[in-house]
Amino acid sequence: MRRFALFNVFLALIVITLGALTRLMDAGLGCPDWPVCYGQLIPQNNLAAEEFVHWQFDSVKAWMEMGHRYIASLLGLSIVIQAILLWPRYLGAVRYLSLFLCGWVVLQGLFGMWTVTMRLWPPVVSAHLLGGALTIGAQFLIWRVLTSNREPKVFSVWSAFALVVFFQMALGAWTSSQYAGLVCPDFPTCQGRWWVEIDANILSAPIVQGDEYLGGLLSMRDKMAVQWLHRLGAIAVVLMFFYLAIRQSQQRRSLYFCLGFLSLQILIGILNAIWLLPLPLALLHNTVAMLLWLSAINGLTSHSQEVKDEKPFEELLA
Amino acid sequence: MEKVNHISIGYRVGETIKDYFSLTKFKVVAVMLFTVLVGYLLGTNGSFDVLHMLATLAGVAGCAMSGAVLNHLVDRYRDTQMQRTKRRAVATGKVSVESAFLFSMALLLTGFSLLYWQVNALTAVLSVLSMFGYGVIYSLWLKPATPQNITIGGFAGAMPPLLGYTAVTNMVAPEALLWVLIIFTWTPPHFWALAIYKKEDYAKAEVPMLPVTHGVEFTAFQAWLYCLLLCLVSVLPVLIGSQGLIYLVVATYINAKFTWYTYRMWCKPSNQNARRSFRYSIFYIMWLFGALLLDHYVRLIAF
Repeated sequence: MRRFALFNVFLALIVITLGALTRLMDAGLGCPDWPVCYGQLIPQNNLAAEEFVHWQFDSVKAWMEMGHRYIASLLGLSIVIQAILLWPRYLGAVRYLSLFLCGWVVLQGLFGMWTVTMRLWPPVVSAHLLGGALTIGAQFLIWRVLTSNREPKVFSVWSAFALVVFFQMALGAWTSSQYAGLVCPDFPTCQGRWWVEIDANILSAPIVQGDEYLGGLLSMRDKMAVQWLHRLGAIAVVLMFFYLAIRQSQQRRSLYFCLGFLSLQILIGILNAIWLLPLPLALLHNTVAMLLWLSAINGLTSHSQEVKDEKPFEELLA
Repeated sequence: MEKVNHISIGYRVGETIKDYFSLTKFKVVAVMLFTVLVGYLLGTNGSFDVLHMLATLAGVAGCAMSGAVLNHLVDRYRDTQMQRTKRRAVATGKVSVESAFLFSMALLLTGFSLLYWQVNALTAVLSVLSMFGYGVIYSLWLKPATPQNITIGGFAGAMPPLLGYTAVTNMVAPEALLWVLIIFTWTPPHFWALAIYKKEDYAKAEVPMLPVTHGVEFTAFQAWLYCLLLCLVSVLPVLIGSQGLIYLVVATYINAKFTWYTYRMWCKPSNQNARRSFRYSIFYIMWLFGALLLDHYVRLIAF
């Protein structure tokens, strides 16, 4: 069971990396229809492809997209099998987690469908990215609970840290889905400015009929603000990490994992900005983000001594 | 001989000051002052007068301390019955009733006049009213009368953020009333957690706290219900548009955590669970007002 859970974690990581690759190669619309590709299960140029006037058949992009779909459905199947196997054998959190995953993976498939049918509408793309993060997070937590034999502590400083990391991932997903990764080719300034005005506009994503969103719709100013917000979010994550390190200083191993991935992630982020998003680095930014997220989740199951309740705040109103 | 005498006088003066200071419940007042400060800063738009702010804090502190002294005075018989309070200065007779009363009135007068001359009449009157609500209405009348004492009396304790806000704007605004509502809703789960693990004490002093009159499980259930209410009330500032995403995220997280602690207390109302819940309720209010402040300043700077 443990090995199966670990296998699922790696499978999910592969699916996510493949999905990120698909996105970064602009292959998200390699197959403009769903679930089939140009009307066929195996992508090939055929008569049906002629009907899609907006898109040219591209073998590489089509295979990329279909590969992502097939491996993702394999993961879905594997998750369902896992739930069936887990249910009679374990009690507690893993049961609910595996059941939750079964539902979530279906929803994630739906988001994948909408990504294609709504032509890369930014909110759907972001939700699909974050949904993937939640899937791998829950799967990883199942594996950690099985191997550590400890129930996860839902409310600790770790979960607050994980929440902050999650929001930073959301900002990252928004940066990606609005194509704002290239707008600031310098660091720490953005096009020579030390401060970018942020207004509520940057969360807007109007629905455009009949066209795709490839390239993003925001103005240059708003794209800069989106990336700026992602950079500010990084500061929030670092601050939160310091707070975590102070509060949970005895959990060295878990903290070192976080520290390693966090510094790596920031380095890659800076390089991405100044080297204009080279493909391997952009892909790595996504994967390391997932690893940082997992190392934050790992903290939920890390061992902690029961703190003896010190003298309570007695002198209160009554 | 003289030298020894001299030291003992110094020692006695020190002890007396300590006794009087212990009457003011400074730790509680400090938490209140934090919420006053938050209310004050949220009323300003970045720039403020430091002296004016200090006058507000000192004035409100005077009124709140005066209320605390009155509470000690009114409760002096009940306090001797309870393990938790039997060492209080008025209860043991270290400070006489008359001098405690004078002390209280002196604090009140200082606080009121400071607020009236340096800040504004509205804040001064509201401060005195909330002090009156706590020191007289709650301590003298509600506390021995009904198990809902702290629910109603919580209204007086909920005033501080409003006081900070009125000190700046000289008016009662809806967002400030929402903060009052938040503390008002937060008081019952906060207090009943304490009452659960101090149940025997309250029973001995014949204070009709909810765990004494209706049992521990019912109290914990009520506390949990108030927590659910609190989850709704604490997001109202976002719904009326006065706070943004940062506040919403922090509030959601601490709401979930507080509700979880109270739920656990309801499932198993042991002393340990009640103590944990009580401890967290204090962190809850600090974090919530911290989030208000953070959200306000991030929005001022970034947008």
